[in-house]
Amino acid sequence: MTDTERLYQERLKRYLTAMDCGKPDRVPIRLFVSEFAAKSAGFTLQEIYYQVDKNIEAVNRFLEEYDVDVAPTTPSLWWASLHDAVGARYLKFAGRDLDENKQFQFIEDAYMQPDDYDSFIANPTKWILTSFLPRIHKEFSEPGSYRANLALIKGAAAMAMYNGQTGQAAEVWAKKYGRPPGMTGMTKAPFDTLGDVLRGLNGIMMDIHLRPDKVLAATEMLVEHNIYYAMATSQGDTQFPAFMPLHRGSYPFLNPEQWDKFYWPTLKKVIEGLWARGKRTLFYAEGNWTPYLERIAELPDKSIVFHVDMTDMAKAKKVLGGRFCLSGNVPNTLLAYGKPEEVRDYCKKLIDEYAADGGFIIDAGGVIQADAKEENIRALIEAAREYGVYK
Amino acid sequence: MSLGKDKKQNTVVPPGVCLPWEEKRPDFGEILGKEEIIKSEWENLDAFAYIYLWWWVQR
Repeated sequence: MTDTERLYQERLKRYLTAMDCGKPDRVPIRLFVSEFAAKSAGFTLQEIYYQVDKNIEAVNRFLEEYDVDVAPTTPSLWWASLHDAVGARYLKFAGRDLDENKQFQFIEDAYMQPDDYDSFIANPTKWILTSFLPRIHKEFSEPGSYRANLALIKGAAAMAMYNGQTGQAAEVWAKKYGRPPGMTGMTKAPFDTLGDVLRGLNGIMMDIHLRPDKVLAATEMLVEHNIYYAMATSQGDTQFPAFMPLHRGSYPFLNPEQWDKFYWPTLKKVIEGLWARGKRTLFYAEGNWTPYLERIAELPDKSIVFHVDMTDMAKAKKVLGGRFCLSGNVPNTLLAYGKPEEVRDYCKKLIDEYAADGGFIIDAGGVIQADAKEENIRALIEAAREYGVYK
Repeated sequence: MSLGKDKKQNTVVPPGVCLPWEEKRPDFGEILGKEEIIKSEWENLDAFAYIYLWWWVQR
């Protein structure tokens, strides 16, 4: 066994043990770096959005420089060239609509209209192709035309190319850099699928008042699709968790009664459905989920890693600790504006108070973007290595 | 805009499927070799198309 293979196995065991609520040799370090990796590697944001090789190389350099236990995803989730090929309306990219070092911007709108609900519920896949894509892809606005057909060919080909390259990159991160993946596959809460890109925040908030039955029918229909999507995008892997970024369920987007009625039941079904297939969910709870911890505790033991951003960590530990691994929650504001000694102090306190009995993974509260200081990331890692050792 | 009504409005198309094999199968008429091979490859590519379409929604 080479040193790299040995390190891979050590890190893998550390990560899996923590996710199973056990005590590994050390607190695992899992940093989800996005644009930070580009800055750290010396690339502009335009370069990582447009050039897949640089997007991947940014991770290579991050893994060379920083002692983390698992590989992050590529700093850009989007390949801008793919979006250009179809004329996607809802993202602005560095170097095209924005300065070369400006983070991408999402243009939210109600791309799905209220009168689409019935068609969407009846056959969502057909509705996406026949109604949704012509609205969000300028090149596809006249289906059947030369440009529309070309856009479909190029879009699908680009996706296959991108997946092939990132799949090969994951092999390199494992074999050359000795890092297992932090997650495989992704999916969403059904309410987020509906409320993020399709109806948008304004649309979904109106819908729960004006057409609640449609919202309930649509989210119910989405359960099996969202389970399938997680399994398909993880290519059937069940060793690592599926990433589930959670948005509209954060307090106080919905009041508790609305959360209980519209958000939680179908989210719970997706998580339980995945767990029945052996797939854990990385419950990436963006924002504050403190009011909902008791409901989240209804989930099967170990079925999620509960990620803490602005949720009350003490309460999360009290309600979920021992049955679910917790991860988080070094504040992104501290990483961006704090001093290294402040980061170290925060990490020491975090480990002392929440990691002692295992089942804990250290990470930032949210995805680490270009505003984080390199010295603060190093301070986080150094503190975790110094204080996060189990005797 | 919408591009016409679904003739099979009441047929539930499961996750991972765009055009079910049952709808495609009659196009082939008699199959001289192993139907299962053709069906399985059809379904794999159909699933890729499904993921491509849903990728624009799951973001």
